Amino acid sequence: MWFVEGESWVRADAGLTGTSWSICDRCGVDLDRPPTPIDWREPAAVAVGSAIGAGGRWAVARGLDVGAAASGAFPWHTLGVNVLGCLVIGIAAIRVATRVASGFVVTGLLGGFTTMSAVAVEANDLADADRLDLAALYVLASVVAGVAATWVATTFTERATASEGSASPS
Amino acid sequence: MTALAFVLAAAVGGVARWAATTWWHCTWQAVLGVNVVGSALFGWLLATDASPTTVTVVGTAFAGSFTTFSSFVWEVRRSRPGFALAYVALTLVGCLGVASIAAST
Repeated sequence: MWFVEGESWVRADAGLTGTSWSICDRCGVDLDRPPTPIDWREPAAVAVGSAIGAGGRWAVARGLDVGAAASGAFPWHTLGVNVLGCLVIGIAAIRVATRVASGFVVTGLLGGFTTMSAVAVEANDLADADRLDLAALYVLASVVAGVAATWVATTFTERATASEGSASPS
Repeated sequence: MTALAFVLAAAVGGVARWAATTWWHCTWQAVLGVNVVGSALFGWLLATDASPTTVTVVGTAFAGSFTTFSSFVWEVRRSRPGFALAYVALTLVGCLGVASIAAST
């Protein structure tokens, strides 16, 4: 992950703290990554990571076998997968340094493992099955638990990164 | 065969998402875009008389891999509080809205 700092680009692992994140004036989010040429190992890593991540999500759905949202069953498998992915991205987005490794872990593995389309479809199925209460709970729980998991992970990872930085000789 | 198609579809979906977030100037817009488009695709797929295998390959593998929840939450995490709320609202209304519309056509 890259951030803008003044005129130069810095990587997230180069002493990241919450306040040092440079933010786009228009949208409140950091600008895009530095204009480096495409390293074709990156999309290759994304492809392999996505296949493994999506396969893992499918395996969880098969393993838990919670039933179809269309018949009113709460989609625990998708909720679990998404919250777990949010926990890991909080660590990986800070710790994974190179773009190829980030492509494999963050964009590939975690991006393929977690999913938004299933959330939308399952919430719609629950609503169609006259379980509007479960649909609302499902969407709310996904966002709240996901953000909480990422917040916990980034907080601890930043703390660990900072203490490692101060402990190592400069 | 289904396993091979699943793996290929998931890889293509992931690379398509990578391409969108790499070449679109703002990451949050790209993540929002892929999530809305993927939700519409998955919703539409369920409205068609697609076989369970097609739903697994095109829906679970391709649309599931094309869309992402972890990057959505990561964008929320690093946004300003006010923008984060708006982003969550935009994503939920967009994805649930298009999935619902697509599924009922």
